[in-house]
Amino acid sequence: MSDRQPLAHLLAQLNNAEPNPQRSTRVRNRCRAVLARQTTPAAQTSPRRLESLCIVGLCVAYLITVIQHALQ
Amino acid sequence: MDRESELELVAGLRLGDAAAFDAIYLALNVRLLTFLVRLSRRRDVAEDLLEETWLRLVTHATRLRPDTRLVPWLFTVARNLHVSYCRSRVIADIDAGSLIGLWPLGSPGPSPFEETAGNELERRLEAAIAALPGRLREAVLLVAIEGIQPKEAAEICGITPEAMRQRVSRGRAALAEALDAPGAIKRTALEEATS
Repeated sequence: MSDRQPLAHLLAQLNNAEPNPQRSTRVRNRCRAVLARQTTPAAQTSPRRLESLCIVGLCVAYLITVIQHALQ
Repeated sequence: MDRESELELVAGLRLGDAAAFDAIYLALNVRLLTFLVRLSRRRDVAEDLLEETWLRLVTHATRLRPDTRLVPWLFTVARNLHVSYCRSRVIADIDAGSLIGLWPLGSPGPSPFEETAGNELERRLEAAIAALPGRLREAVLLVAIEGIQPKEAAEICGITPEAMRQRVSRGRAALAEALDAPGAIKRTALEEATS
């Protein structure tokens, strides 16, 4: 047996950490909630997204008007 | 977790399937926590980093590539979060030092695993792992303890596979040396324990 084999064996057999059950449940629930928010269609048309689209639209309309006035 | 079921779980996760997330969580949570506890040497820090790791997964769920390999992905995030944490600690320690003079940078404490080690040999091994330099410690944790292939471990740490093999080799040598050091358990006891 080489010198490395016992060490490799020992390393593979070291204890695992025990998760805190209460914290694990909390993390899981939080992640599920985030996951649900990520994939619901509502997330893609959220009020914030609509707000951004409105602002962009108004800016474009304003620019077009300004350019039209300048050309006249 | 074989590759086929891993791909199914990734597909489920991309669609927001909570059951797929639960399966991934159950399969990898203990491994990630164990890795982070040994890497950070602090249970509270490890739990915070673990929570953030899982949140990163679900936040990126819909943008995951269909062929994502979950183990490297999650360990990369966990490892990078730990690096960020260490950087923030260094900055915090430097700030504190500038306020109150020659404040020493925080020295690493013992591994939480030392208290729960089943025997003296395990306790010494945990202490030796905790005392390894960070780069060698993460290499040993990923390859020798978690059983991740050196090539994947190299991707996780952002280095070449050859550099990873060298780090693992140096880490193992340092551990063997620590166990053979005066006052440590002799190699014969090591062999008896594993025979």
